[in-house]
Amino acid sequence: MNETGTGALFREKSAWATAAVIGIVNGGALVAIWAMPQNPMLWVGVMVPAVITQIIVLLALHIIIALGTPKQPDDERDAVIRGRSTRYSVIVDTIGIWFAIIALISQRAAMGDDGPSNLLLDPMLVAYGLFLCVVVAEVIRLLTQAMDYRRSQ
Amino acid sequence: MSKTSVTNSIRMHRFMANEMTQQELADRVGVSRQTIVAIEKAKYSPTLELAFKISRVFEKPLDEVFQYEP
Repeated sequence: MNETGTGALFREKSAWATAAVIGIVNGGALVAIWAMPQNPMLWVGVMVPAVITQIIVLLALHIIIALGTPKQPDDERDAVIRGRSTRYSVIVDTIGIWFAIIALISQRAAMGDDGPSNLLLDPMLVAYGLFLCVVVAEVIRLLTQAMDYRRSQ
Repeated sequence: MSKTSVTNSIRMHRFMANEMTQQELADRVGVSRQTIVAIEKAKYSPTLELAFKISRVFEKPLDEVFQYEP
């Protein structure tokens, strides 16, 4: 009975790696497009390479992690940890969605009869805000998951 | 994950079962070794089903392996 220590599971390593990649790549993409919020095409130009980069880097990292980590079954503790982390990300998503709803309704109310010529808030900013919210929620979900794995060892 | 109110004597029962390893117990009940570690350290409370499975491996009643300390 000399095996009280544990190596990190594939799922824990995967969570750390994915959180880092998603945070760095999407954070970088958001900073890049933040300078030109009025240009929707810049969004496509930055996000397409960002998504492709994420897929390639995550694929490579997961192959490396899988090769260096013994296979363990997915069990009830994994489901509990996943459920807990998902709850946190849903809270962040919900807050972001409500902010966007309030921002868009306030804008429409402020426009009055003048129509779109009197824009108070660029719709692209709302889109960026929602995107940021999705990224933050995902990073929080993955970090919570990774920390739960670490703390319960 | 903080300490739970459910404690256990899995470690002692493993010792008495011919020094069964955590991995061996994990394989027999179908969970990861990390889950057995978490249960032993009272950092994770198993479901009733898993608790019964673990007790059955040691051929002991449930309350001999798991204790509730509120």
